[in-house]
Amino acid sequence: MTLPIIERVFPGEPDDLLPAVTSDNEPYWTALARGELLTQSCTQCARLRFPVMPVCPYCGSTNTEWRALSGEGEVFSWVRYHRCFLQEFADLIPYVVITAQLDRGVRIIGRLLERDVIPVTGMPVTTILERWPGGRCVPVFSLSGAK
Amino acid sequence: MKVAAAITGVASTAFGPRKFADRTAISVASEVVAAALADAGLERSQLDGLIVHIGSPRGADYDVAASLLGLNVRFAAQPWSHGRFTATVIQHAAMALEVGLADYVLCLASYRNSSAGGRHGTKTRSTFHEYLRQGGGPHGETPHAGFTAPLAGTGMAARRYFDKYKISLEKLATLALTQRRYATLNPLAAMRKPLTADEYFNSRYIVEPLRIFDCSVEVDGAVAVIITTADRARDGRKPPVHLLGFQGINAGPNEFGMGQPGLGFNQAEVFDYVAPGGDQMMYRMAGLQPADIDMLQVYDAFSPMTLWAIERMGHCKTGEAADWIQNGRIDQNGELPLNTSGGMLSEGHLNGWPQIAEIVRQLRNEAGERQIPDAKTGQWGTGLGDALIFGRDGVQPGALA
Ligand SMILES: [Zn+2]
Repeated sequence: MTLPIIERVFPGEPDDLLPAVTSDNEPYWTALARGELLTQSCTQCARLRFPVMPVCPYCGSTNTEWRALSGEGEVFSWVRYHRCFLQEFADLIPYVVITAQLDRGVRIIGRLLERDVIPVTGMPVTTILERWPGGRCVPVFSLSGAK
Repeated sequence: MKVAAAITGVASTAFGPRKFADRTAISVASEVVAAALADAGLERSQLDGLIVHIGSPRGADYDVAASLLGLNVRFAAQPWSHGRFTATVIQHAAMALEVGLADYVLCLASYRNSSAGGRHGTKTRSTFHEYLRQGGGPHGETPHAGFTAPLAGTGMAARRYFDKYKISLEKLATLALTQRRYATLNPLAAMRKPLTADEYFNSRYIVEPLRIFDCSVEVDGAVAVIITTADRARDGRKPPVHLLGFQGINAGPNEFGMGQPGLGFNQAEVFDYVAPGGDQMMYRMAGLQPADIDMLQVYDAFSPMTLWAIERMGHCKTGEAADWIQNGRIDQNGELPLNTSGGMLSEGHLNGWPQIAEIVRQLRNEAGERQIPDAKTGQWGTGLGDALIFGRDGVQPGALA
C-alpha cells in the first residue's frame, strides 16, 4: 500500500514545523518517508488509533501493532485559511485544511491540495504524501482520483 | 456539600491591545493588588496565599510576583500558562482556605499579550513550541498541515456542530453584536465602538467559517481577586460575593477545549453529546438549578465556544444554543444576560479574569449602566465543563432552592 509522493518546495527551510521523532512515533514517520501511512492497532480490542499514543483509549491495553492504511477516506470537516499565520503556507492562501475520516476509523488533519473548491462533508478523498526538504513526508489530501 | 469561601476584594485595570506594551506585568500587577487590598479593606501583610495565572513571558511568575510585590505567603500555586484554568484557580483558592493553608488568597492575573511574541499561530509566539508536542498543540494545532492558531480548532469543530444540528451560521452574529452592546456600556472594555449587523456580515473571514468579529481581542491588563472564608468576608469593607458551587475541568480522549464532546475532533469519539442540564456538581453544591442563574459569563475566545459553554452549563439542550440566544434572551433585561462586560470578544481576552471581576461588580450592584437588575447569582463556565457559581450577600447555598 504505497502512496503517491509529491515534492514540496518551500521558500525557506521548514525545519521547525515538524514534530520531533521520538521512540513512540518513529515507526509512523519512518513509514511515511517510504510511502506508507501507518497507525497503531490495539491487539486486544482491534481498534485503530491516531495520533501515536502508548495506551489504547478504548480498552486501556498497551499492546499494539502497526497497520498500513489505504489512505482512502472522506471529508469529515474543513476550514479555509484566509489569513497567513505561517510563511511556509503564504503562497497557498486561501487554502483548505480538512479532517479526513480514513478507512477503518482513523481521522487525520491535513491540507487539501485543491484550493478552489468548497468541500462538502462526505466527499471522498485520497491521501498523498508530500516530501519536505530533509526527506520527511507529511500526509495531504486530494479530491481528484478519489473513488 | 457546601463551600464557605467568598470574594472580598477585586480590582482591575482597563483592557486594551498593547495597552501596557511599554510597562512590565509586575508594575501593572502592583496597582491592581493595591487596589484590591483597598477594596477589601485589608493590609498587604494579611495576604498569606497567592495563585498566579499565566506566568512568564507574558506575566510574572508566582515567585517574583511574591517577592517584587512584597507578599509573604505560606501557600502559592501557578497552573500551566493557558486560560482554561480560571475556575480552577478560584477552586484551589477555596480549597486552600477550607483546609487552612491560607486565610486570604490573592488570585492574580497580570499579563501583557502584547509581549507574547506575536499572534497565536505564528512562529514568533512564545507558545509555538507547544504546537509540536506529541499529540498535537493545545488547540489541536498541526503545523505541518498549515493548521495553527486556536480559532482553527474551533472552526473545525464548529463546522461539524453546525452541520449536525442544521444551524445557520448567521446566528453567531447575535453573540458579537450583543457583547459589543454591553462593551459600549463598560468603560474598561477594549472595543467600545458600536458594531452593526452589516459590519459583522461584511467582515472578513480569518479561518472560515469564523469571521474577525467571531474572534476575541487579545489585550493587556490585570485583575486581582482576593478570596477568603465566608466568615472573614463578613468583616470586609464591601459585601461578600459568595462562592456557592463549582466543578472542575474535564480532560480525556473525548475532551477538546475548542469544541464540544462528540464532535470527533482528531480521535475524539463521534457520539450524540447530551448536555447535562441541572444534574451537575455545581448546582447540587449551590442548591440551585440553571433557571436560578441571573447572569452567565463564559470563555468566549471564539463565538462558537459560547454556544458550547451555554449547553454544557445546562441552560439548554445540545444543538439548541444558537436558537436559544436569539430574541433578546441574553440582553441586559433578558432571561439570562450573557458576557455582560463584553466578554472576550469585546471587553478583551484576558483568559476570563475580567469576567470574574464582572460577576463581582454585578453582584455588588457596581456595574453602572450595564447593571443587571436585581442580580442575585452569577455563573462562570467553559466548554470543558469547569464552572463557578457566585451569589450576592445574603444568598447562601440552597437559599433559593
Ligand atoms: Zn484497545
